[in-house]
Amino acid sequence: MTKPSLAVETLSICSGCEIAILDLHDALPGVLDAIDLKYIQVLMDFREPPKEGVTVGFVSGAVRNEEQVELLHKMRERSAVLVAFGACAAFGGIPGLANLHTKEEILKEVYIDTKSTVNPDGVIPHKVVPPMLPELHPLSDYVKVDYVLPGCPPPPKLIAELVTCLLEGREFKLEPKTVCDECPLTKEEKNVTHFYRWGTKRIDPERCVLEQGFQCMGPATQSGCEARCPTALAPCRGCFGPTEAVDDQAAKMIGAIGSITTKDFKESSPDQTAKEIPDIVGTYLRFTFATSTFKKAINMGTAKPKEAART
Amino acid sequence: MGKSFEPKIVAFACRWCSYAGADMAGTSRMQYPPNARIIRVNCSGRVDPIFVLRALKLKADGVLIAGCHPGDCHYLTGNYQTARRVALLKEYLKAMNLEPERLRLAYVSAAEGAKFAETMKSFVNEIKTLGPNPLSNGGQD
Repeated sequence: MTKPSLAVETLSICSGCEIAILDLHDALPGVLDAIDLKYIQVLMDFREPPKEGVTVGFVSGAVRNEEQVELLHKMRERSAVLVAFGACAAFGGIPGLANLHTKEEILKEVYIDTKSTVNPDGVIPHKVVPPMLPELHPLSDYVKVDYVLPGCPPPPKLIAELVTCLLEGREFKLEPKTVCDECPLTKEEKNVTHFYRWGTKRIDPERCVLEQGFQCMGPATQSGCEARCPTALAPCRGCFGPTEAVDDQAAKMIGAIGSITTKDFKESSPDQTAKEIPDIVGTYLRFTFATSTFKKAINMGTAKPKEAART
Repeated sequence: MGKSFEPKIVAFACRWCSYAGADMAGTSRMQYPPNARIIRVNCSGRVDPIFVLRALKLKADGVLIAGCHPGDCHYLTGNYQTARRVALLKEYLKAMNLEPERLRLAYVSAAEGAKFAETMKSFVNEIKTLGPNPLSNGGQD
């Protein structure tokens, strides 16, 4: 019997997800014994996934330009099972926050307005480079995604679990629980008065960081990471995205904030709370803006995802 | 176009105070604009922020959440929770380039039929000045 094969495609991303695969460390040789790694740009010098196709295709990164639409379709055609690998592929990730601005604004900021840029003619690259799409899209806007492995990056333990599940022909599914369910910190009072930026106040290492007034996304985030951030006393940023019952992480978080804050408006008024949480979208939709309710700021044109020319 | 702009408003009214207040406005035959689709909820605290976002995403021109006066909530603290959520939701709407005025929180007790009618009038007027929801293709959809 031939070994199952794996291809990893990299779209609009920082490549951290590929490094997470290498982070399997001691488990990696075992995985490589069981799987034939056909294509992964951080390790091998191939330009595209093998024509004969692969059993499993991991795609990391979101879709930001027309070339990536083509690459994504190619991966879909050539992989029997397609996995959206990492937060960007699954929800748009941090690059998804660019949907707060139009393509024109972004290009102008990057190539003309930044202080360190010298570009007297105001030239915006348009030759050779693939044209940028009006908005950033997660994979599911273009192709059918069989499995989603969220995380920024996905924890090696879950990668190993997913690969094992696929090898054994089992269904891979994250339990529909939140990070709070897994978090070992003590949760007691629901009477938060003020919110603070992380690092501006001493943290009690035993107590829930959200109840101490830090913006922890635990209540609105899918579990699976074993609460790796809150355990290290860093508030959860929500990289696993919402649980399947939730559409919009921000809505869920706003609901949670309403419940856990003080009911005494003399201690802290609603407006005061709104001031203490200055960037709702950047905080609550850090990884999922491109799949949230509005997906992008309004009045930016209503272009549908563009179908790439398929051969 | 020709027709003047009639806003579509989704109103969530709490069962114990505001919905009864709306009933009071009706049984007292007070006149107020018919733009609102009133949805009865058990408590204004039951209004999940996603309800508001979905209503606006589905091209509602305004969302009104009406609950008991502070201190009067049948469930003790529901309306306090809602007040804080509304403040945060307004920030969310601002970031989306939507006018935060499209979301309003009102306190209407069961006895305040007149206040309910008044709130409706002023909210409809405010939305008329703001114009249609930008997602609604100029009020055509």
